Parts: sequence; C-alpha cells; structure tokens
Amino acid sequence: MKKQRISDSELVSLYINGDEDAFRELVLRHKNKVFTTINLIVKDRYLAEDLLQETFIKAINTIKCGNYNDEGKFLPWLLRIGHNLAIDNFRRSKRYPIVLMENGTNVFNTLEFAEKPVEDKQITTDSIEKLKRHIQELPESQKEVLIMRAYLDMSFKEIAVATGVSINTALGRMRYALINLKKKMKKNSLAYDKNNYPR
Amino acid sequence: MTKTITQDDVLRYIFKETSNEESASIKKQLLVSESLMEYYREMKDTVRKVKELELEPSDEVTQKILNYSGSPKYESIS
Repeated sequence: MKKQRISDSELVSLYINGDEDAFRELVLRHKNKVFTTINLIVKDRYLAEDLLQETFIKAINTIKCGNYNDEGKFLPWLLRIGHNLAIDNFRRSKRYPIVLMENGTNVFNTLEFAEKPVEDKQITTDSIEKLKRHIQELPESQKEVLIMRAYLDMSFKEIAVATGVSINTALGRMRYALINLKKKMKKNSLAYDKNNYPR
Repeated sequence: MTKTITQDDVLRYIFKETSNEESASIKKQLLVSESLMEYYREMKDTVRKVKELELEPSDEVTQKILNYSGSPKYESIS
C-alpha cells in the first residue's frame, strides 16, 4: 500500500504538539534546499552551516513560542529566514577588509581547504561543484534574482519589489544570469573535450 | 494585432508566470521561430540544472539542530 506523504503543515501541527519526529522529518526534507540557498550567497561551507543552524533555531523558537502562522508555506518561510541571514552576513562581511596572503589569495580560502575533514560524508561530484562556483561567480545583482526565483520561488513581481527595481529589470537580470551560466557551463565542457577545436 | 514575443516573455513562460492567453501565444510562436525555440530549450535546461543543484550540510550540523529542538532550554535570538 502506498504511504501518503504527510504535508509540511501537518508536520508543523504535530511538532507544535510535541512530536519531535515530525520536526526531524521537516529538517530532513528541507535542510539541503536551505543550505544550498545560503551557501550560494556566502560562498563558505562552514559559515553556511552556522547560518543553517541559526535559521532552524529561529524557526524552532518562533514555532515553539506560538508565533508561527501556518498558511501552508513552511518552506518559503524557512527559506526567507535563511536567505535574510545570509544576506545580512554577506553585507556585514563587505565592511571588513579581507585578509590576504602574500600571493594575493584569501587566507580563509586556504583555511577552508586545509581544514576540510577527511571523514566528510558529503559526496560532491565535479559537476555540482562547478555549477555552484558558476552561480557564486555571477554578478551579485544577477545571482540575487536567480536565487530568489529558482530557490525562494518568489515571482518576478515580488523580486522587483524586494530589490527596488522594475519587473523588466528583474527579468533582464535573470536573462543575463542564465545566459552567463550557460556560457560558463559550455566553456567548461569544451575545456575537457580534446576533440573540440576553436574555429 | 499579434504581440511580438520577447525573450523575457519566454522566461516568464518557463517560470509559469504567463496567463493562459499569453502561454498559448508563446507556444504558437515557439513552433514557428527556430531561434526562439532554441532559446527556450537552452534557458529551460539551464533553469532545470540550477533548480536541481542540491548541496548537503554535514550530519553533525543536522544533529545539532535536532538536539536543540529536543532541548528544554530555548535561548532568545537577538
């Protein structure tokens, strides 16, 4: 017999009534999407994990204090919290000078590679890492629209309001984001194909 | 008078933000314009890849979140 998937709203109701298994299901369902959104903005895995924790802590506190209004939109609500925390952090980090090594590289990049745990269970394929990097390398205005539309599921109208631009500008930024991504992905696949020669 | 379909219209169509009337008009135009159809296919494919991108946090972080929820102490977030 096919088990019907329980909705997020039902899980939240169960959680409010003390069912921790319901919360566990919510976390397992949505942690990756929230983490992806945050990671693309802050570009630092360890920072993204900290902010992911902070996101869920805020959500837990709001729900357990009785301040959560369920309108069937648990995931969009959770993503907004994560997105806002990531943006706040990103803006704060821009105010402080980046520490550079003698060769000009960011010392935090070096630390990240040096401290990556051997027992890290996350399996990241080459293509996933490349796409992640391509998105992170987009101009901020394009990346912002891309994340809001593709991950936060905001409409172009909502994005226009949130970013203070016209709908046409929001659409234009999305268009350029996708074109740039397509170009980068094509360039990467050509770079590995020895049979392709420039005309 | 037939409205000219733009690349931005195609984008809105990909993200399901067009009215039924607009969608019908865009579909017709895609069938007759090779360049527009190619643009539609490339953008749709790129959007699909972006949406499918899924990064995973460590098990340790997931466990910390679950431990916090199960704890009777709640700290107020400033």
